Amino acid sequence: MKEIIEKYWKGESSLEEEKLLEKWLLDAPDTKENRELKIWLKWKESERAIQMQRLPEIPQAQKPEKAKVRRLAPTKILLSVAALICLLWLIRTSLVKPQLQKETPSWAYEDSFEDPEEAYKVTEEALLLLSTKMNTSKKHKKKLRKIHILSDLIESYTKD
Amino acid sequence: MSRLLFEMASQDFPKSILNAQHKLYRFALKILGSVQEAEDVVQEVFIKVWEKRWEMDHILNPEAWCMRMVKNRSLDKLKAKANQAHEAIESVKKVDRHAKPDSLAENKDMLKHISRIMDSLPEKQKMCMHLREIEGMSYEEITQALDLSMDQVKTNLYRARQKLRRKLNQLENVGINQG
Repeated sequence: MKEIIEKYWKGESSLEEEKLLEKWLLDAPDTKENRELKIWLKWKESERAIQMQRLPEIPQAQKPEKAKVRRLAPTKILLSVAALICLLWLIRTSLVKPQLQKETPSWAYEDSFEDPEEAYKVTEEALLLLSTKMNTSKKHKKKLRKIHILSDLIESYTKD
Repeated sequence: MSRLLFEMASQDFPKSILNAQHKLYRFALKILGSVQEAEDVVQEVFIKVWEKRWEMDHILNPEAWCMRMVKNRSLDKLKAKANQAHEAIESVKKVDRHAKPDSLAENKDMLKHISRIMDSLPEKQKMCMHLREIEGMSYEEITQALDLSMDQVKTNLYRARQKLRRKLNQLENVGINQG
């Protein structure tokens, strides 16, 4: 404790050490130096006991109510817009996307061949078949057109 | 103003400042030495805090900020009314201090002497001592309250304590009557 007392007088003690010193002084032996510190502590306690008798008056709030509203409004609008965007996104992902997926059969997303050369060969055959069929259909189309013209003529004659 | 009205009105008032009103008052009283003027200074500071209450989030240490306002306003009043403050010190010693008469009966004179020693300190030393010894503020808080550097605070505390130690020693050796 002597060390703390020396530090205290030199202004080098911490708050905790000073509190410890005050606590120790309450039951400290009655030496000359301790008497000086004890009376000093007594004086400090009497000073700490001083309290304000007249309570300060707090002004009534008027201005801050407006300030509060102004502060909240832009935040509310931003939150509403953000909520609307989230809702639209949810609608899109939960309703529109599944709808699109229904139209496309599941086997279309699956890989049929593991060997790329085989896949290429099959694709080439399919495309050839498609082009052959397209050419055939063109021929049929010409025939159908002729039949259509003839049927129109017959119809016109029968009406007459 | 009744206690109930005070509590109702204080709902929007920063709680940390409300709790520190007696600290602020003691500090103002230490500088001014007048009960009336110390109360006025605290009232002015409270009004200022009320006006700035929505900006309190930006203030790291509201208590130290209020202490600084008390210091500045008190010193301004002191400059304007130096003579009145000196007369008020004597009346304050009789009225406000020594809250427990029984314990003071045997050491009343010593306590008065210590009051005189403290009042005779230079302004900065007196303020540093008050904030450290009475209010238990840290060095950091004292630098913020008094707008001083850490070194200045430590130097002022050192000098004040050394002077106090010398004076207390003299009182013990020479005796109270001759002190």
